[in-house]
Amino acid sequence: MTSAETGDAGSEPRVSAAVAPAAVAVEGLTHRYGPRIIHEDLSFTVGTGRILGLLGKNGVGKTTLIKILMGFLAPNAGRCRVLGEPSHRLSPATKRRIGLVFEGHLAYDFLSIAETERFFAAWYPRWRRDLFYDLVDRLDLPRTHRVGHLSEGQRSQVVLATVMAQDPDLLILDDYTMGLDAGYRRLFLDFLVHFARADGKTLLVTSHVVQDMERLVDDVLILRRGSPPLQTTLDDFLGRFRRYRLPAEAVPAALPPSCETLHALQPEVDGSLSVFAFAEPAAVSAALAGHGLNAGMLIETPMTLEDAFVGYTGTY
Amino acid sequence: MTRALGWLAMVLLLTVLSAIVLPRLYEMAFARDIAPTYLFFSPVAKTFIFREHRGDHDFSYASADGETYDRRGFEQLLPFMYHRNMELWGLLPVEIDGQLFDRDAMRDSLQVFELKAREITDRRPDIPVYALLDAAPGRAGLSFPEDVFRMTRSRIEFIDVDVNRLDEPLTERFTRALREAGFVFPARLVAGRQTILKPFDAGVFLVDADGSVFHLRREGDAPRVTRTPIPRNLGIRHIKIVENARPDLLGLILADSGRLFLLTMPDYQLVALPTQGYDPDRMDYRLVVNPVNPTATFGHAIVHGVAMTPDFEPIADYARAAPDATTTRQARIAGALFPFVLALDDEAGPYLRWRILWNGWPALIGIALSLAAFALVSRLRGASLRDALPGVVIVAVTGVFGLIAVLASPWLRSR
Amino acid sequence: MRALLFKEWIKLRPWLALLVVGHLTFAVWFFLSMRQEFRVEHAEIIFHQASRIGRLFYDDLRYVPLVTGALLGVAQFLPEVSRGRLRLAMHLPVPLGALMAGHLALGLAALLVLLAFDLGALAVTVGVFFPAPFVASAVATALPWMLAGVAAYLGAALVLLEPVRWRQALNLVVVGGVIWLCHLSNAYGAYDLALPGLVLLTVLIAPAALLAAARFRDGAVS
Repeated sequence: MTSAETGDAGSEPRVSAAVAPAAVAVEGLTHRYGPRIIHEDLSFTVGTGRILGLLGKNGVGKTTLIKILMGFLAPNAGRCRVLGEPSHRLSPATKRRIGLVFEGHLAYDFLSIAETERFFAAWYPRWRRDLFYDLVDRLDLPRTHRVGHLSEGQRSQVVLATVMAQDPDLLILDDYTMGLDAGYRRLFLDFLVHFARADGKTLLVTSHVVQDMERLVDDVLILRRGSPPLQTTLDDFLGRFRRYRLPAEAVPAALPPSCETLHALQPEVDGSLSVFAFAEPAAVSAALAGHGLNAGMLIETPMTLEDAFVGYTGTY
Repeated sequence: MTRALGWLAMVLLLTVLSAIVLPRLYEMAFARDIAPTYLFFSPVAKTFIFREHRGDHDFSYASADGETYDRRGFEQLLPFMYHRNMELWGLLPVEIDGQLFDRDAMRDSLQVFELKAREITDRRPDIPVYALLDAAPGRAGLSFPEDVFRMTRSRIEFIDVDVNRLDEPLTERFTRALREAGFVFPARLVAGRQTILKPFDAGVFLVDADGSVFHLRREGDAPRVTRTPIPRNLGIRHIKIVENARPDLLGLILADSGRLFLLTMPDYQLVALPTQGYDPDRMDYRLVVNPVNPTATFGHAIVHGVAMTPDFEPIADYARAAPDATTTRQARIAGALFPFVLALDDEAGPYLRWRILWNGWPALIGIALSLAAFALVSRLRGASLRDALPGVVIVAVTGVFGLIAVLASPWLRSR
Repeated sequence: MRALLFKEWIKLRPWLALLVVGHLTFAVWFFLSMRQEFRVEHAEIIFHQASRIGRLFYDDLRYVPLVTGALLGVAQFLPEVSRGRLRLAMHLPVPLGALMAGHLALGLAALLVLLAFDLGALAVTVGVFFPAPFVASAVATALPWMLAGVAAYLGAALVLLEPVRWRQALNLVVVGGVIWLCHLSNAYGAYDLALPGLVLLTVLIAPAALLAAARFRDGAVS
């Protein structure tokens, strides 16, 4: 558990966030592809200065939501405001305050590192050349090196440097971990955390490596198919969402259904049963006993964010 | 704004292209080929006879009086035209109007003058550079000189084709000769038959700035200029030189007024030809000269014929409507389906021209059906009236073309 | 926009070099082939063929602008649409219309320079061997071919920017139609009266391409 580091500072909104309006405000968002409903009446906000991790298994509409937030998909209905403007009708001034990192670390392959810097610098009055080269020079590559010839990890560094040098107020990162090995992932994350924390940036990130989020985010927004999304602080989620274990001998053949108290029951490979719940041990025991289970052997076991994420959203 | 403009652009592109392509495809698929009616005056029967095509290789031969013929009978009524068949059938010599004609007499006396709409100078692009052939080359056969000439504002310029450079002496000589004959630069028209595949060369005819017609020939490098007595105020539009075996009938002259004349030599006298109902921009004019009854014919949808005496006095005329392609069932369907046809083609000359052919009232049926189809689709897509309105306007004006365009374009919706 | 010019220049640099070399080669080859005609045939016969029979000695130029336009358009927009890279530019602090118009204007400018070079090479070569009226005729005859080049360039944008596959095919048909209209006749000067209408049709492709770009930005919901 990392609650010691993030502590109260992470769970409580920072002072600036309390007075500033939400950086991202989604209200009643509905989107479908043909008859397939992806999002229905989705609402959430990201406070200014907060770092929000958007979590969800594949196919729950993460990509669609990110596309809408980035302005590359107009929602069928509802409102999606980013820095106060509709996300698909952003004014140039607002676009300037938003940094986007696209899935796969999109960059201009035909430009060199120096040309990339020169091209993007022209559009951003707050451009921080020092920051760009601080990051990029660590790659130890000539600046004339073409982006198209970089490895995925190297390119991710250039992309991050480009976005950070824009000095945006809001960063939206679509699965920055894709294609990165552990080293580059760590490097990317470290820079990102440092950058965001130091300057009070608002961040909205998705990643399929949930574990990374634990070191990065203040808040989580977890999308689940067929049920309303859960938005809360990371600490609240990790603090309230618990895993209990029932040893194999106490597990009956027919499992009780999940309910208000028992969020999910998941048989483990060793025959034991994991019970996930927001409830206190006593309430969980009572609920299990109500279904005729021997709740006396119930033990609460600690969880990482990934454990909690899987427990919350289910393995399948 | 960008979207609305883009939508309009896409719809217009699709509408224009379908208005060009669909009628073409329809015609290729269904239209029947109808050949023009050939009309003649028989110097034997003294009546107009014609060959008519009613589609599917169904030709009929008949006369204005209602007689019908087989092909051979028909051709025997036109002994000058078919003198070779007449000879094969052993029918020569033949006596017409008290005159006896053998094969050679018939061949030599038959002369055809034709002026097609597409030939007229102002109906075709031109490179105004001409060859002036040596009319007396001193050997059999004509050949191109190694120079060409063009008319400038103040002179006639000869250019040596081997080096593409001005031939000053020749230019000087010919310009002076023209000026001395009273030629006023710049020239309005240059006319000559630019070929060496002809029995003789008559040089070129030039119309000067005042409308006077000059006849320019070349003998060696010497100019021969004749100021013709052709009236200055004729308003000449086109001169067609026909250097046939008979040099006394040299060609046709078309005036701006649409009147047509036969140019006779050696005195440059003009013989007025019948032009009642003749539209030079749309019709081909054909004059068949024989010693008995020269005949003029012109027109497509309605074929006109005028028969004349040997000295070109009209004696009989006749007009006959060609079997009309527009009355076929397929054509009527097309007329109702397509409100108009857009064409970019070279129907009457090498120039490609944009043409819009309106199909008239029956097109309202197609427009109504298209509107109904559009209304149905709009309803299925749940479009509001306001969203559908631009499409309704397009379809109401352009019918099925607009319908295709609007349905194929991204749906315009107000957000 | 200067930054845009910079990016497009870097992107198109190798292609432009290829095109420049190609057009120079064509110009030289065209001149030499024309000279060869005059070596093997009497000049007066060539003059007669050119002016009266309507033989186009520069017919090889016919599809050069078309290929140039298409190549330039593909070189410019294929890297942008592959993996949706255009999103990078679309997020730049500039309105979408201006951004795309800027891209098209830069590509068109490069194309027009190349086409102007072609027309110049045509005029010079024809002018060396023939007097001025032939030059005027040759240039007028080549204009619809040049227009087809512009249509091919704008058409490449229209097709590539469109995000939906079947609409790409439809756009290809539309562009093909416009290009077809530019090549209807083999007669010199045939388009003298038809060109304005064709220019209008070609120009229409540009706003249609902007619509395709807007659809690209909006994820092609329609």
